Amino acid sequence: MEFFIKLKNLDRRWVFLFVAASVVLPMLLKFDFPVFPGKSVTGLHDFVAQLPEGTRCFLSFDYDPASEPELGPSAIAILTHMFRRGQKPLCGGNWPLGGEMAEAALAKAVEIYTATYDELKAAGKLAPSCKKTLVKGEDYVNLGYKPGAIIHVKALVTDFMGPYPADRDGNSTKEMGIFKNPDGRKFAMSDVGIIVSFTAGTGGIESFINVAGDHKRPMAAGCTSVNIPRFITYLQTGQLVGMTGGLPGAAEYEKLIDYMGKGREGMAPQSIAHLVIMLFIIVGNIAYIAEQRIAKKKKA
Amino acid sequence: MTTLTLSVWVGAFITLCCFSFLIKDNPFYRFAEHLFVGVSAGYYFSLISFHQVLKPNLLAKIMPAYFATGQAASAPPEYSLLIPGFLGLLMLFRLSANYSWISRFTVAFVMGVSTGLAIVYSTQQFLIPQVAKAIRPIVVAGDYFQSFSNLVLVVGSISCLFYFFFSTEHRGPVYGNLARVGIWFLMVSFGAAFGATVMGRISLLIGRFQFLLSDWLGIV
Repeated sequence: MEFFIKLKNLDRRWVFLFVAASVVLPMLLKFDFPVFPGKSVTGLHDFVAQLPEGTRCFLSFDYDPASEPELGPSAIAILTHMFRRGQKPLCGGNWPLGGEMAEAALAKAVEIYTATYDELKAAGKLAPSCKKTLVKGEDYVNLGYKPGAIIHVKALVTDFMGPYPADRDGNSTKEMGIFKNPDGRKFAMSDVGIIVSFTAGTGGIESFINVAGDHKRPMAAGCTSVNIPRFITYLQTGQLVGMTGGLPGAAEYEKLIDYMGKGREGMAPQSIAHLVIMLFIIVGNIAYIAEQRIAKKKKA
Repeated sequence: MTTLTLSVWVGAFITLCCFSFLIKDNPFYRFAEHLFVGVSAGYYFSLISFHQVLKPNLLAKIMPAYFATGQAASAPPEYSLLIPGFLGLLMLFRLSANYSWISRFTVAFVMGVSTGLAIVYSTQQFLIPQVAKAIRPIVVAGDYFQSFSNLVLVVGSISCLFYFFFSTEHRGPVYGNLARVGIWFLMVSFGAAFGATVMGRISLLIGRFQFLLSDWLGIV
């Protein structure tokens, strides 16, 4: 008992050291823990997989570098999957650094797609229309950040090109092939196959859910772990077709597209760090109970 | 040394400066903190606000010949956008102690529009779907798991709502016990939220170590 009471007064820096070791060692020793895709991630994957080739998908990057380790791997996995299915991502952002986050995710997804193209083509795992070189403005576009959140999303419903006269690099969107409809009709939100928001807080997927009655498009979210309890209710109501929650959600999506990315690499350190934290919580509680008992005995 | 290598070294140095706070507060941590605030402000105002918002959405539409590109350069000017532009300029009065009240016109406009939209849409898309999904049959024939799941949902929703009636004291056999059950449901939800938060923070730590060990040191 004395040992546990001494542990209660342990310098917190030892706790930091243990947690750091539990994260670093599995990385150095290259532990690989199995990943089992859940219902919410599979739902999103299957929905994307059944969208016809050439479908334009709107991806909103509603996070900044502080949430990149959690949401970046999800975004890269979903973008890669869309490229392999011959779909065309339109990337935007309700957060100021959303455009920058989209640019980094697009560059990585294009790199993965190009590197695995020949192998997957030979295996017949690519959509027939897929070509090796993806062209910006034709196969994908980064529209950058726009302020307003719900007001901006509402504006997109009635006039998609109005809020986005130019892409993030300043190129006029009117001339871009990705926005051309075969019947010459003006591009609208109704031409989008799915809306996916990578959300770190407010102004993300909830902005799209708010206006769902107007745009009537299927929606999905990639959210940080902190937001899982909040957004899971939208899955239950059927307002979202799927969701990737935090780094484990990204790992599950990577497993479904057969790619070893930062999500899957992070699952061993994540699991071991959780075990270490659980151990500290148990030890802390034992120490607390022991202290209470000793105090009672002294009183008696 | 290439630009990429230099940026990785700077990133690693700043990361270690931030981690040094775990030992104790020190000048390296404060340097990283101040650098972050300064760079964020500069980056936001110059690159984001101007190039991604003001230029394409305001200047390129009022003066397309000077700021727009492609076909948009020959489009007629949209002078109606001078009104929101003017409202935006009023916000700069926040910088003056004597005239900061002028910016309240813009704030009032934004508040009015946002509140109007939020009230309608929140009711339509958040409140009603959640209430509708909470109305479930407690007994589903032949599916015990679903029956139990529905029972938990209904009891949880009702007892938590009971707990949040603060106009009456939480006492009595029915009201007191229901409020107590509500506390248990709330405790479970706080536990889930705490677990999710821990998971998120560990993921961020993993992200940083992946950067340090892979991008910087190249040992994994």
